[in-house]
Amino acid sequence: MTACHDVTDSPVALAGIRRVALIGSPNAGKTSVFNHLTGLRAKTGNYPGVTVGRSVGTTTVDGVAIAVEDLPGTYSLDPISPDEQVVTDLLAGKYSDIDRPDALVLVADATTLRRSIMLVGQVLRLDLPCLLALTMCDELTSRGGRIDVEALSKALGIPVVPVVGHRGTGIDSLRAQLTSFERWQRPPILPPAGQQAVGAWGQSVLDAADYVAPQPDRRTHRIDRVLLHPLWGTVAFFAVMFYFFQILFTAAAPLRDGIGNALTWLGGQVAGHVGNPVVRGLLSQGLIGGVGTVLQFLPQIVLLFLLLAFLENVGYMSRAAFLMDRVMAKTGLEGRAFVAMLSSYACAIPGIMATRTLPSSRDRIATIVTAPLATCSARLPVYTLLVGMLVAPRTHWWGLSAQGITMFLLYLAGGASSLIAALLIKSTILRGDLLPFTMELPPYRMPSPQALLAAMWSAAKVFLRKAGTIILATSLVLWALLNLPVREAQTRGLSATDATAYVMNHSYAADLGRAVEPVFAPLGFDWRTDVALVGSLSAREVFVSTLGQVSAATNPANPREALAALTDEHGHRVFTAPTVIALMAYFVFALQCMSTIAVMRRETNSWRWPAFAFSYMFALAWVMAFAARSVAIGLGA
Amino acid sequence: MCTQPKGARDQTGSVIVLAQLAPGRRATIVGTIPQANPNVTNRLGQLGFRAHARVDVIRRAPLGDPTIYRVQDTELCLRRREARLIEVVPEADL
Amino acid sequence: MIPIHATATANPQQLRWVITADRLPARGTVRSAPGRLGAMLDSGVIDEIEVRTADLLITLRADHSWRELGDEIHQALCDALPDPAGWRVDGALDDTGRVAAIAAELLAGPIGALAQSHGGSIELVSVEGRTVNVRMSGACDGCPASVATLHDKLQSELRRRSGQAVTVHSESSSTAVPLGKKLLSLFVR
Repeated sequence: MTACHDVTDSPVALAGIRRVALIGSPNAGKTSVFNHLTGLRAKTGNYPGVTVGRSVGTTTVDGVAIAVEDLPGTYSLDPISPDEQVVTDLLAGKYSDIDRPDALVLVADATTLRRSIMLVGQVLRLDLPCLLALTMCDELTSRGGRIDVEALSKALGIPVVPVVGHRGTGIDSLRAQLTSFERWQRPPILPPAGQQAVGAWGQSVLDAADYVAPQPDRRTHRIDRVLLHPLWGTVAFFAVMFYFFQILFTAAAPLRDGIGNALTWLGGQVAGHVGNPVVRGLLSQGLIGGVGTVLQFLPQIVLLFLLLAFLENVGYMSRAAFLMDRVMAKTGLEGRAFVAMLSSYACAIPGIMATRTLPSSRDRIATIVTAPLATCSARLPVYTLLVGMLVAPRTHWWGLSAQGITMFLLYLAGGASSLIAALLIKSTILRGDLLPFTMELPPYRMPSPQALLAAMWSAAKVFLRKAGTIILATSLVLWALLNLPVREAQTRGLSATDATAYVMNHSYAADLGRAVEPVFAPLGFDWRTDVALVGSLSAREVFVSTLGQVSAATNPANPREALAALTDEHGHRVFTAPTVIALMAYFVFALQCMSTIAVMRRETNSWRWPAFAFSYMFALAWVMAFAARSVAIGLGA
Repeated sequence: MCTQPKGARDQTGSVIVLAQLAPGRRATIVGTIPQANPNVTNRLGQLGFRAHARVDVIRRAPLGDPTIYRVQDTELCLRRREARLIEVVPEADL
Repeated sequence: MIPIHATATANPQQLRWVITADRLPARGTVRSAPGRLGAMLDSGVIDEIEVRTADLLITLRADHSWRELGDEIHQALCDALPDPAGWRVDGALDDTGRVAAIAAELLAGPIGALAQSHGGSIELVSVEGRTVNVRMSGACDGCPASVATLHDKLQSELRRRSGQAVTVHSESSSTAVPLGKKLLSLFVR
């Protein structure tokens, strides 16, 4: 389960306050408990030396702050991979700069207690103050099971608190107990060591607690008979995918247009009421133009994240991973990597964070460095612009909209290239480590609105931060570079339009563009395209707004036409068909997103992998752009 | 005819591997094959695939792999690669 | 392995070990026990062991703690419990007669019928303390599988009905009985 926590780079150091760690198997409801306790203000980092993410938050009880750490979900304290070793090492106090927790809260699902009692036994053997938070007790009884919580507490020798995750009941009494962990009941002796002995101990404890295991969940079975049916399940899967892309393209259109109109109105207001041309330019081009592109796509992003959060929380994503595992296995990855890749079609950042569900660190890294190839929503404005330049709006090929077909092909190229890249990487540098593929399919559970909104908001927040900081800053810087130095002398006497054009052609940006020109000349890009490309290193949307600024300088009334008609020094049209095709190919492959690089750095705990990803994607983009251009020229475009 | 000690081969009680069991069948786990990687068998044990535990084969993916099994109150899926490592004694057809 | 767990009592030196009834030795105060457990009892490390209906109470001597001895005693218990014959418990009623009656009832009833269905027979030889001696003959004599089945069934039924940790000893479990002895046993029947 991914939780898109607040992103900061600083390592977590909360010295001097008491620390409690949450431990439990995946799918036990631990994340829900963590979120309830820390209220989504958790900070994330990494454990030293591994690619395992670390989440620490604080909760306050009677004015006392307590650090709460959400340990990675584990089935057992016997690790089978270096990543799992992290939890065992942390609890043994082997990290010099991370303190051992003062107390542990075990989170166990009451419906799978026969299995998780083994972990309880292992954890109790650590001899730390322990409390058991028992989740899904309501589901246990509704499925015909039973447990006597008092008797369980007596048999275990530790306090047991029933918690209903999605409703938050029991959380307050749990939180109240966190300050008094020195006074928690402790078992008189530690449970035995060794799988057999702990198993016998667990059985005895559950018998003493009158535990009756639940019946298989009938509702889940009925739903799965359809959703995992060889025929209907596949149909349902494609329907979900189709719906996903529908949202991407059309569902949010009215909202997007609405925002677009609002921005145009705002631009008009600025043009009308702001006297100073510099400020006017800054506001309309730098600010509105730059950030506006991104804001227009916000409704779509939010809807996508909502859908992804719903599918994840209701339990469908593990079914999707189950259906897709065979295909993913062909690339050397596994079913859960599909979920990460799918998320990347909205935005690679939550997609990269979704790789935390992959137990193999090699699979994780391979997915992280190939996920940006999936056609993320930031490419959409770029593709829309380029397709608009290449293919006339009303054209039809074989009865279908030509623009639609081109867009579809671009999306296909992204998807195919991510899978092929994963295949190549997994068969060479990140060859498999033979970890077994085991994945739990939890029962379908109706997600609480709070959980959905929380998941959706944390993903949207990342996107807004990208817009509010990186894109805003880049747009302002680019605006400055395109409009400085102010050539007072040379522009005296020219019309407003001609003056702006002159300044732009002799601006710092122009110097930059011409300096970079040799790199992109074989692809047919002129200095303005190059400036836009360099700017869009921060975020792809900047490409559109930069070209927008350039074309508005030439022809403020009709920037679209201006762009199409743009010529270079020799009078040749810049955006010829081969050039546009080359640009499309370039954007399919290039990693043009600083936020993605930052997240890669954080999730892989090093600069090596983001550097590798950026380099190979740049090389690939250049080569493919060149190839596409050559083919286009060859075909007489 | 005398009943023979556990583990011997007769019509309903023969030892096969989990991968050979079709969806809808039920079996009792006896252990793992000797050549199995201990890391893998440990993990399978932790997930509930232990000796004497009951396992139900629920369904197979449309593409043939993986398969969903129900063991100790949980449904989880294994690939053929792992299911081949678990030895079971199938119960009579339900 | 025997399902077993320990819970605290009012006395910090005493723990209650929860075990199912059919795995417990006879009720009462334990005089001696097999293996390491017995050694600890004899040496005084363990002050007292009391067997009750559904659990065992073990009290440690004042200068020992459960924290240090927990694992050791758990292991010792697990080793000692499968050997009920090795325990000597005071306060156990003289049940020899009762056990003999139950054994006879079983041999005349379900266990005897089971033996007959295999073409053999089983008879009661004697009852000593909590050991029941039987003899099997006929078609199943010499067949280790059926001897084991009958033995297990008789022993578990005896234990269940009497509440005692009874052991069944079969006198004809040898597979190399010479023909003469076999013929003789047919006559003796």
